[in-house]
Amino acid sequence: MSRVSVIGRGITKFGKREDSIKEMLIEACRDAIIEANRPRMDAVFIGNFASGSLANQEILGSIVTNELGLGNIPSIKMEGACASGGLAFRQAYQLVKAGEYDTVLVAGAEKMTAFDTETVTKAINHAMDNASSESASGLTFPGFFGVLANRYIHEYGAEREHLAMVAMKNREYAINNPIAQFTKPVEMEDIIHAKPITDPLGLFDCSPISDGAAAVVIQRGANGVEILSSGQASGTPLMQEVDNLLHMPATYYSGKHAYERAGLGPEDIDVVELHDCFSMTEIIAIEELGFFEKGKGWKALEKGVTKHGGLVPVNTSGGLLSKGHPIGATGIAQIIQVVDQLNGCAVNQVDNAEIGLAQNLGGTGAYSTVHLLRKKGA
Amino acid sequence: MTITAKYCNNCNYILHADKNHCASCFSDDLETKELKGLGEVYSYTKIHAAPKDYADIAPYYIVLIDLDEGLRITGRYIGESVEINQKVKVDNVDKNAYIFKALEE
Repeated sequence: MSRVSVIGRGITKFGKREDSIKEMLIEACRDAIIEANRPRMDAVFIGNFASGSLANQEILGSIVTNELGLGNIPSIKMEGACASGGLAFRQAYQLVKAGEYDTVLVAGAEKMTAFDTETVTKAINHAMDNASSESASGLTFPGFFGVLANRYIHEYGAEREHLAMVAMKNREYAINNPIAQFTKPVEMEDIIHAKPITDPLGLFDCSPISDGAAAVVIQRGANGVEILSSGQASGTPLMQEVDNLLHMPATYYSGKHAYERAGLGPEDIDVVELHDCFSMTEIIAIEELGFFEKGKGWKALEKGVTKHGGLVPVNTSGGLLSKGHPIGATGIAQIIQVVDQLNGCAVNQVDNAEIGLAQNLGGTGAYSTVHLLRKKGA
Repeated sequence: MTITAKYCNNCNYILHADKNHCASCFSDDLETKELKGLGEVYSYTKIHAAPKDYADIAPYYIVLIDLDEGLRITGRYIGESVEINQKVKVDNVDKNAYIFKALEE
């Protein structure tokens, strides 16, 4: 099996944008291809969740390939809710590693601000299993994480403030990130007393509605940050069928597989980008990925050990909460922040970072991917 | 008022009413049964930001209920406030959604 590396990256500013999904994709892809010195591309993979309903556009693979003049190479759009980007990256990585392709363009994008919030909330609900009495109840995506958060607080002694600490940390990181959607400083009081969304989660505990695109070029060889391993797992898409609501098996198993394939463990990781679609989700993820014991993730926030100077900095890009969450772009944007960290040129650079982890979650725990990456030559 | 569930005739696994197949033993020999609809709140949330089809009833409570007869089910809750471990009973069905109320002691 071959070594595979990330040799170029491109990303648009996240937030509310005038551009179409096509324009954003081309901007990100063009930058990635130029940085990679315009190699001959063998295939194109696009991660996207809902361009049909939110941007009136499908066939993104073909559109990108044609607009960039890449010829008649194979292309595809892949969907896995918020994990669409991570899934596209994984499929591309596996095919290069297996020898099918030498060089692949992997991008992700979402256009979400063209419709009102109620319509977007409805579209996002398509990432839940809708053929049951559960969906008829009016449960929403943030609602799932609200139910989870109330039970987590009840069982483990965490408080509302610990959720706010996640939002605060990620905002502090986003302030330094020029592509982030939210770069204004906030106070803890603003977070705790913000507009309620789904109790106990308020506005700052929830990732925003965003537009944006991100792209990377991956290639066989060791000419960049190396992709060490890829893990993927599924979980149940219905809240009422989850065995233990406080566990996210998809996150756990995707991490376990990625660690095992690379022969590494959580203690080897220098920097992490993980899926903080809600403040609660970050706390569950740092537990499932083995950085902290089950039920003790909130204590890590209290001690401040998931930022610079602590055990392992988490979401140095500002995370989904403050960098923004254009759904299909998120998995690729996470890879880009880890790649930048390992190239020593990231916003909120972590000193001497050699191994990084990126975790991308889809649905309410329906999909998860984990990728481990290593600094060039390390 | 009852809650419809299914039991697997092969392995006796209890399933939600929308199932036509038992994921535990792979049998499709399922039988519909009515449950009393009594249970306890496992957890809950109050939804302020609702999707389009539910915007007119927001804010509303979503509850995850452990039914006494062994099934965990999601529904809405009508009442001033709700808490974890509270006893509830199903009160009615609204467009396929189970609506719970506090159980009077």
